Amino acid sequence: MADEKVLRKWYSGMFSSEDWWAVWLGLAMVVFGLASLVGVDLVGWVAIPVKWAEPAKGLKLSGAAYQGIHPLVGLAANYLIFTALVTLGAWAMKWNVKKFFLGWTVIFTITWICWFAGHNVHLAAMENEMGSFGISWSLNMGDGASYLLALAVGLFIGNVTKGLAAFLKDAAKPEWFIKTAIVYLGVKLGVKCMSAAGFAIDLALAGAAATVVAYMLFWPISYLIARKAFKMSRDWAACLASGVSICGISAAVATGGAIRARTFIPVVVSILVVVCTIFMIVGLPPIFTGTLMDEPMVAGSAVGMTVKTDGGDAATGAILDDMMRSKASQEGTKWEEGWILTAAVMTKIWIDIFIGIWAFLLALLWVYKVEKKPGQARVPLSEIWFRFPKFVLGYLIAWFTYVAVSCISPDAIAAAKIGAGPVQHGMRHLFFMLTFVSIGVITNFRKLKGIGKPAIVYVIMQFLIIPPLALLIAWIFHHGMMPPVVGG
Amino acid sequence: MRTDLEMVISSEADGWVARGDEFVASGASWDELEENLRQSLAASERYSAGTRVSVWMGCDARMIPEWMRPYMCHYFNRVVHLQI
Repeated sequence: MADEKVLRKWYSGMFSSEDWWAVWLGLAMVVFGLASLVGVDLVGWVAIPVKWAEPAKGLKLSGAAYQGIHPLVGLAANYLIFTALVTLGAWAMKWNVKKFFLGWTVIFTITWICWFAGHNVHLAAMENEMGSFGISWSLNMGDGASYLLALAVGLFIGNVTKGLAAFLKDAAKPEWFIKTAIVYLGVKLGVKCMSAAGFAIDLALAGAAATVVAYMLFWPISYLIARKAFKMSRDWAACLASGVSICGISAAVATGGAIRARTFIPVVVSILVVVCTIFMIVGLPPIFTGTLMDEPMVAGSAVGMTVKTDGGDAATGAILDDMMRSKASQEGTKWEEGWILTAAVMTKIWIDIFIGIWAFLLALLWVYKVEKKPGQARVPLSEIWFRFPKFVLGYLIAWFTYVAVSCISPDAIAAAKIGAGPVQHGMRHLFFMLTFVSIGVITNFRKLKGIGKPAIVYVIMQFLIIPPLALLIAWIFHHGMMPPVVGG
Repeated sequence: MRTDLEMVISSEADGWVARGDEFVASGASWDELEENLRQSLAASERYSAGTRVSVWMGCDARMIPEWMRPYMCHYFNRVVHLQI
């Protein structure tokens, strides 16, 4: 038996799956960041764009120890270091390394062009910054400009320049990039807990509670609509319900496996998930910013329950975080960056964690109630582990490591933040940007052609049923929670 | 968890196929596959009549399209008990 193709042992896939490689890539940088505890900055080489009116002033390196290096030299070093790391992962996962390397180089370049261009002050400067830049107009988009530019370029490549899309597909890995970014987000949460532990815990618990309610409500409603209103088979209804109400592709596949459906069913559902996610990324942030400024954490959590892929959820959360903070800033309130995003991501992480348990319960239900073979079939408990999102381990390790530092040695907090900064800011934003470009590249709207009834059912549930319910559940558990104020 | 037999499941155009330990069984449905496997085991003389054989079945991850595996790289494992 080829073990690498069948998950048999608990450690199966540990060096051959993107999920685990998000953990390795993520935690490698977390470890390097922790070197600042002993006075060594191993991560300050990370390059970041800054808002610029003159291009020559738009690039800098993150760490004070690296300010003597020319930013372009630093950027070249960034390319070499990240290329070495991701190519190592590609080699371990037995991808075509040459194709990956070439595609990665192009995606990295496109990402940086969008990231840099998006920081031009006419796109990114807030109203209260325009004077300092000497400009009379700006779109006030903050970081959102870079994200949307990256998404637009990716979508253009994916839907118009077919040859380039085909060339890049071996390196366009939105799930790997966003899961790595989420591990870095764990560092951010750990640092934030140093000053706002109570709020972080409240957010985590509220996210867990919202997730449980969402599972209990979304799935049965979606299943019944598919079965009763649209007369779909049990297999179709179950996979569609999981895909639209829980967690998109991973839930559709997990459910298909749990009930042993033919694989083309979760494949069709997955196509619908990927295509519809784009509309969520583009549509939800402006809608929520326009209507939920009094309840920003409700908005973040609702995103987590509405957007169906990890990449899409984090992307939507990032844009929403930026848009809401920009608007609040213009109205005189400066919220700390990342809390609205954290609400979106944390809710999604809870949803991801419960997928394995949900699929296990569905498998038991099918054995006992549908197939009626209680004595002849057994669902191993290991199924829960094999469906557990491993990148969450990296997120939790990163988070709790920094919490532990602040608990064990409060005097070390300042030193810890030196190493945490480049990881949770520069690296996280870079991998978010890589995700935006990659999501666009792999999303081809033509895939919807010919899908028929499942597409109609999915669209109705995704756009008409889930969002209002998600808002209601998010409001129940998150209303009144406000992001901490900068300097507050 | 030890079982009497281990097999790998793959998905083909007209159904499922289980392969492992010199046995191959197929079926358009799971009931058909399991019945065909039971008959193969009975015909092999390895197991005597009346024996309850436990079979671990794990899915070949390659039946999940490559572009979907980053989201979920596991379809299912299952233990079935067949009465010879």
